[in-house]
Amino acid sequence: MKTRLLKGLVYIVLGLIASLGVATVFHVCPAMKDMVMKCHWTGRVSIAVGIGIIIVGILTILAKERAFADGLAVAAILLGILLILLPTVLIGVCPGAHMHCHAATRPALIITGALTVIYGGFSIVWKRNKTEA
Amino acid sequence: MEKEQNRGVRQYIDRYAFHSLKQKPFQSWLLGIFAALVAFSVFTGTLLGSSMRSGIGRMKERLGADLMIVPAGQQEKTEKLLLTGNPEFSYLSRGLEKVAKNTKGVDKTTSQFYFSSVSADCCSTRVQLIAFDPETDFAVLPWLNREEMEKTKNGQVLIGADVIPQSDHRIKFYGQEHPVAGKLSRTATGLDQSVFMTRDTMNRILRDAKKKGFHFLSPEDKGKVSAVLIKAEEGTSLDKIETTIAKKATAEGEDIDIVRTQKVIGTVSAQYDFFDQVIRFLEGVLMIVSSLMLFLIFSFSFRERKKEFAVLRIVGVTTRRIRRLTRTQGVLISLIGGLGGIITGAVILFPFRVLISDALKVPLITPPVLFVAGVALVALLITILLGAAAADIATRTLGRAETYFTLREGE
Repeated sequence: MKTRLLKGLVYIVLGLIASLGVATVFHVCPAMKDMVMKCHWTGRVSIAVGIGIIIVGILTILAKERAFADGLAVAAILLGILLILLPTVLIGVCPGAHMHCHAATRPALIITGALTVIYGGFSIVWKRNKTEA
Repeated sequence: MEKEQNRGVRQYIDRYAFHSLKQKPFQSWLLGIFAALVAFSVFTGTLLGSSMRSGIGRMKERLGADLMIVPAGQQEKTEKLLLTGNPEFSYLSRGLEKVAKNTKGVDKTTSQFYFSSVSADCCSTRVQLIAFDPETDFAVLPWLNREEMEKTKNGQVLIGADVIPQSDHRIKFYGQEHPVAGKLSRTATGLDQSVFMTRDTMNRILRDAKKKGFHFLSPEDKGKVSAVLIKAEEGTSLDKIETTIAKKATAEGEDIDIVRTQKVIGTVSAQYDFFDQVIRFLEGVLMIVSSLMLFLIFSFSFRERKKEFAVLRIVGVTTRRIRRLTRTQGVLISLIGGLGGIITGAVILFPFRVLISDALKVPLITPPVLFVAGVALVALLITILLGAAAADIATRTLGRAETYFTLREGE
């Protein structure tokens, strides 16, 4: 149970960075009067993806079966990849290097995504022979 | 034979050190975190200081002019433009360039014209647009190669290091796309967020802007410039030039301010000195506190393991080897923690460089990879030495109590 709690907590923290972090510290550029920049949509989708990672974390705490936990880790990896792709390929951010979404949101999402992918992969490979999650 | 046996014992002790660390995960994590803090503070502190130093060095090198004549009331805005690239301009008469040129002690003069793009669909991004005079320029052209120079003269634009062009290597201003002749190397100033062009290219863009409903110049502003850049002769007093130009400008009915680029750099340097001191102080405090904590945690941990050491003594492990065991643990923990600290530092420092630079209002230039690797290695070595020393000192403080009594203690 302790291991599951720890594993789940890591996902929850990563999910919080992607959702709460992007809504506060790593916020995207403020929307102008009559213009919505593309970083606005990146911000919105990443909040949703972050919530997804939090849910994966909660389920990881509850998951007793090894196979189920592995499935959750795969889901976390996919969500992590999505976090990386959002500001780089799928939607993008504003092109100015000094704009907040470019200087803060983009690296924050890429790092959080990469950490989620690494941690997800790590938790599948780690203690492979154990049957309990 | 004896040598081989000794090697076998050493290997056993190393394995034992690793396993006993795994036995106490909480303690090992705590020690690892403090070791990581040491490595983090040395790594980020050194790199931040060095990035700031090279940033200011590059700034001095690239702000080609000694003085800038700008319209009255624009001094602060121009300083802001040089530092942060915030585009907000008004204009002065181009005739002032001649006035400045004819002033004693002035080596070169050139004029520049500033305006900006907007954050709307018509433009790729909001940047400041700087038009220079290719005939007289000494601030932009010296940094270009022949090909870039030719392309720029033929209507292409040059972009600053922080401006990102479209994937087809073009950049859009007011509905029209312009091919990019080249990207200027980083200056760590507001010029990194600027796009440079000749006056002819600028006139075309201004016409495009007008079609889109943006008016940068009123009719009477034609033939005006945003700033006159002055390069003084070696050893001439800038004060004298400043006063003479100010007098001449007043006589011509022009209301002007004169910006000293060195003063702008001086402001940034002062800011740098302040941050450098703060960083050094924090680095020192973090290192001292972390080293102390490493020593304290090792001491507590070894005190708890007194009996374990006594058993080792009874089975024939010498005191020297027990010290080797604790030292190995110190090295292992500080190696893993140190690597963690350096990776964390790199993950914060490099991707968030622009954010840190903007927040501190100090230019940052990332040092070369080899230098970064060197700093990482030094930070790791310092951490390992501190970790090993803390473990060794903690073992020595255990004293030389009789093994038998240590084992029977508490009975």
